Amino acid sequence: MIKQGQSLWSDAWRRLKKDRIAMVCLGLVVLFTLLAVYGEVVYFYHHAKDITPAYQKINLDLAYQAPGAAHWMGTDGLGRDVMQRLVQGVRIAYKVGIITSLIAIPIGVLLGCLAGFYGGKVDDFVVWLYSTFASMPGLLFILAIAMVVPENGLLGVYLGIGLTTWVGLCRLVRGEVLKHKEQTYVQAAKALGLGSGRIMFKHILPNILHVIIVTFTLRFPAAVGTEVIMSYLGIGVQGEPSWGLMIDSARMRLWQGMWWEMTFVTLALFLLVLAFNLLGDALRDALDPRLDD
Amino acid sequence: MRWIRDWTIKPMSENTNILEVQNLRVHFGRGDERVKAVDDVSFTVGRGETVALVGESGSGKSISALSITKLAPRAARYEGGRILFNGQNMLDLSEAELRSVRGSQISYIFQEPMVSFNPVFTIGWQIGEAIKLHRKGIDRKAETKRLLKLVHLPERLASAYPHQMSGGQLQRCMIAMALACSPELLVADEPTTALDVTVQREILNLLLELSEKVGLSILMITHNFGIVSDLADRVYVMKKGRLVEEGTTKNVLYNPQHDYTKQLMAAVPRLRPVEQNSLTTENTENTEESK
Repeated sequence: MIKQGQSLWSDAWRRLKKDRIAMVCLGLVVLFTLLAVYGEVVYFYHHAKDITPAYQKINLDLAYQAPGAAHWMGTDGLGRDVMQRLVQGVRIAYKVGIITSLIAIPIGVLLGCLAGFYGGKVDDFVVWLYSTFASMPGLLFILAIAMVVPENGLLGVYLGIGLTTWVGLCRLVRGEVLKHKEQTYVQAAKALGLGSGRIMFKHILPNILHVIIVTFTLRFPAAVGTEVIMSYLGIGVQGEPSWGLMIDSARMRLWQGMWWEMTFVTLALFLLVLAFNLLGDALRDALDPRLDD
Repeated sequence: MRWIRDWTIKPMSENTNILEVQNLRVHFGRGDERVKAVDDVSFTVGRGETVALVGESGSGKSISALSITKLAPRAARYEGGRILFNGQNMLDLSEAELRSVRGSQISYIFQEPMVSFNPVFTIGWQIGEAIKLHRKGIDRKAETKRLLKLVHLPERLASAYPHQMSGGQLQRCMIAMALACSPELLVADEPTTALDVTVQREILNLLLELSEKVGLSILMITHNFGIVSDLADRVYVMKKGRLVEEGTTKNVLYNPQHDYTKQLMAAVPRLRPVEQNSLTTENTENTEESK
């Protein structure tokens, strides 16, 4: 008996629902998202009223308290609540992961599609462009962009990471489109009178969605990691509790037995990366109707 | 019921030709590397007529067929000739104008039904796409059902994915999709080559039935004279980019003039030896290549 198909996304959702691990990961991603939104609200509330939020309040009497009833995840060296800072860290990580993806993925997909589909001079130009980008040392390039951006802070991080990390995806998409445009179904679509844009984005793109999804799930944590390095180098986040800064400050006290800050931040990072990767994998499978049984 | 065209009693005269290809030349490459894939080829398809273009692989028959709506690979250059479809020269049309002809007035069926569908969409979606493109404001679901019925497939297959169906079913869907916008001309490029023999028969019967039911003109590209004898009113034989023989199916089958035509006929496999008649020539092995 043939299963009744509906549409690409509703069928993918139906298949995804059967995967327990994927659903747990989806739950985690939703939880992190809610935390990020909550963090954003808290940040804006304090910012608008111009008061120091709890996660920034320094109270040296409370420094280095182990996890307990008052502070579930303990306090750091300046007596700030680790849990509240962690939530703010989710906010920063999300913004970096998502906004850099929103910059890098459209660039990579668009240029990759155009190059693969049209070939010729368009392809030459795109290959030249990404070869040029790829030939520059990544971190230096990111730092250079971040330096040029007038407003020091997150905008530099977004642009720096976003404008440099589309190369890998572009290369992958170009290769996939090159492969797919020779297939008979594309010829058949042309014979039906479909235009190039529609063939590229409505017929070929859904076939290579898995490449984009897997890239997103891999680059999301990678972007968070890059932000950590940038913040550590003093070019990224300043004065806000990003996970990078928290890990950096916590590592100093680790040998003295102040394990909680490091542990909880690392755990949060680990869960976020794991959830995104497993969910991306499951989504990739769910989007392929041939894997349905 | 078998739908085998009785070409002996089919009326011969059709006043208007839906398609007239005149002295078409399609070349690949330049200079010494030039390949004349289609070299000075002329043929016509009458209204409601089924015409076969026969030849071996690389004879230029597929390129000729694709050239009708300028679908030949990008490297192809149209060096000369005219392709008149309803009196309009297709070689003069812009890409946008060609797109509005493709699918709505001239439809194609391809050789490999298994790969001619987009693997991530349901059959119904893909047929709907064809309807949406050229016939706006029509109930797509109902129309898809009607088309599936037309090619004798159950309606529920609309929500099946290509990989869940057999080659024969897919070729029927391909035909349904090609007929979605009631085209005047159907170009079938080896529509049965990838299918097994019993399914081939079903597909050919379906094409015959439809050509009579909806008055479709069919240009059939094939290398198989068995198909030609069942289906075609007239035959053109191509070799190395040139036409070597043309005529009514009856004349060509019973009285082939060119050695190459005789070779092609002899190449049709037979289940058991038949008596020698005009369809199989005696000296097929040592006929010379035509110069």
